[in-house]
Amino acid sequence: MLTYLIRRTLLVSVTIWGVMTILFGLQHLSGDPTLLLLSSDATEDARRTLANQLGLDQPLAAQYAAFLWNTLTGDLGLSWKYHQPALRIVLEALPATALLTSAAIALGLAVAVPLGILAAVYRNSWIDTLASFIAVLGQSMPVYWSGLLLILLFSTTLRWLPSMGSDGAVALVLPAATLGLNIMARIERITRASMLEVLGQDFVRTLRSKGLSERSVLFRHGLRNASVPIVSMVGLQLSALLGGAVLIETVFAWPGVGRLAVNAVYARDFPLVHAAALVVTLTFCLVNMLVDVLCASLNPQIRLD
Amino acid sequence: MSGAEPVLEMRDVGVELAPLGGAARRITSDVDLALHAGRTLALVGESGCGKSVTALAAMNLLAPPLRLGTGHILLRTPGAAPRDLTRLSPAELRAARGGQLGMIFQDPMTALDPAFQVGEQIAESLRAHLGLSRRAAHDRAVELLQLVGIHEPERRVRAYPFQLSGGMRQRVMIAIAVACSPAVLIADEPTTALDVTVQAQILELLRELGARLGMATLLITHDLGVVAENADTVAVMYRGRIVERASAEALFTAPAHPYTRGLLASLPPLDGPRERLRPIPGQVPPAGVADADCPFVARCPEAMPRCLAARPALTAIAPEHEAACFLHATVAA
Repeated sequence: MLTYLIRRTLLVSVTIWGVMTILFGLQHLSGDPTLLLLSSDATEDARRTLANQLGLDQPLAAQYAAFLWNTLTGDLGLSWKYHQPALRIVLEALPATALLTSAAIALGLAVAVPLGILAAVYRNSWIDTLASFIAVLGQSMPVYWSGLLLILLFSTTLRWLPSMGSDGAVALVLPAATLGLNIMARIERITRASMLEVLGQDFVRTLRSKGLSERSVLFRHGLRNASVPIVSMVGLQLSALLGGAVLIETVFAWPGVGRLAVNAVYARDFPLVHAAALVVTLTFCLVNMLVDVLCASLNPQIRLD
Repeated sequence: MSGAEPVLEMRDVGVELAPLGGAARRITSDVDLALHAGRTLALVGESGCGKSVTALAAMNLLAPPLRLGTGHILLRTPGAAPRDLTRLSPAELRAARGGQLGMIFQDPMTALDPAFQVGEQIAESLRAHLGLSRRAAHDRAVELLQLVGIHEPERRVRAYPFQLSGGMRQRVMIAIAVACSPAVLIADEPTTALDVTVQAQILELLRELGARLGMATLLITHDLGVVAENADTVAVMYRGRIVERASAEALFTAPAHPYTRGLLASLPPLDGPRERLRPIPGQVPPAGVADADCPFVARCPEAMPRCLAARPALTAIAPEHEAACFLHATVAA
């Protein structure tokens, strides 16, 4: 276990170095940020002064070294736009994203797993057809569109729920439901496929020959054996969403990391982009690691090999 | 065959294959089998003749696309009225399976749940049927592992199936099947997937357990050597029907049906000159029962015109010996 953790930590370091290098490259390919930071009638002198202040007049190699050093020490400097520590701004936005993501995943799981099991058990029945229909709908509607539809119905027409902001639990309902629908579709499909595979295996017949209840066959044994692909899928969704549910945060004006990162890119706010990328990458790696550990605990063959 | 009433009796059992959106097809028909306490009935036949579906039918364990088309399965256990497994509620059926009926499957590699320790897989049966506590079920699982000849049962009880050899897994499977001291044990080709040396050990174990627990055993096999050593009575199946039924001794000394004779003749002799193996000519026709003619007529060396015109019924040709063949019709008549 210890060697495993050490190996994983090393891998995470390499991943972060890779992401940071790509980010550095892209930032410097995207043009001169001073042109955007200053008004269009600023003098060449003012531009040069600013470049000097921001360290942009240094040789690229020196900037790269400083960039990596800052990543390592976690000192990412002040946001050029907000004049506050960039990392702190991102970390302040993280809880909102985490809340939205976990609500959406919880909602998706709560519907998808029972629905997927039902669809597998009663395959080719009307339940299966209904579940497929919901899954196709959920997966093929882009979230910005289904989000707008939900706003139209529940905020504009019925006036039951707020369409934007993050005040209180009611504000969470619509964005979480929109994202949840999309996630639910994916999890439902993988639950169904995975359960179908498990239920077709020989040992299920053994369980029935032992006279176990259907509940025990489906949940204790079936779901346990089907859980690894489901957990992996949830992990993928979780890390993707924690990296910023950009579209949904934009549609619902949700103050999360995704929206912050996109705005920072538009503003060429290098430290803020840097901080957002670092936080997202770290979260991604952490979630993946958790998923691996969870899968190993669910499947003894992974754990003991 | 035995004076006492059979513990498990299959009457007129016919299994159907009913694919989704397709027409149902009978794959076995008129299967009558009687299992007596402490005795072993072997059901033999080639692959695809309907042996395994008969075993599943005996547990009423057929799953789509297979289903029971006709017949009754009567279970008589001491102190209880005879019950027809085809008429039990799901809960009653669950109580019978694993409780009074134990089953061993062909492939121990896939028949155990890979995600659970073998001890748990034995214990959950004990908990479900005997209402044992977790602790008591665990202790009993260790005893059962010992009973089926697994060394260091205290350690193995925590093993996962993939950590055990094929022979050990089959022993675990047997421990699961006999956990609640069932009245009936159904073993569907229990040694087919095992090494030859392990096969003998497993059969020995089954024989010993059958005698010790007084179980009525249905042994499904295609191996006539296994039959000779383990069975009291034998039923030979061909294309979904029983074509001959006799005591093991009578079957080996005086096989009546040309198919049984062919099977015995195809065995390599242990003594005497080495010669080419003598196969039964032809192929087993695809699964599905026919009513118009004798199922074996296409491959039978002694086929007569009447074999094409009608299907011979299973009739007594000697005490405790029945065959479905017109060669013996005159004897019976």
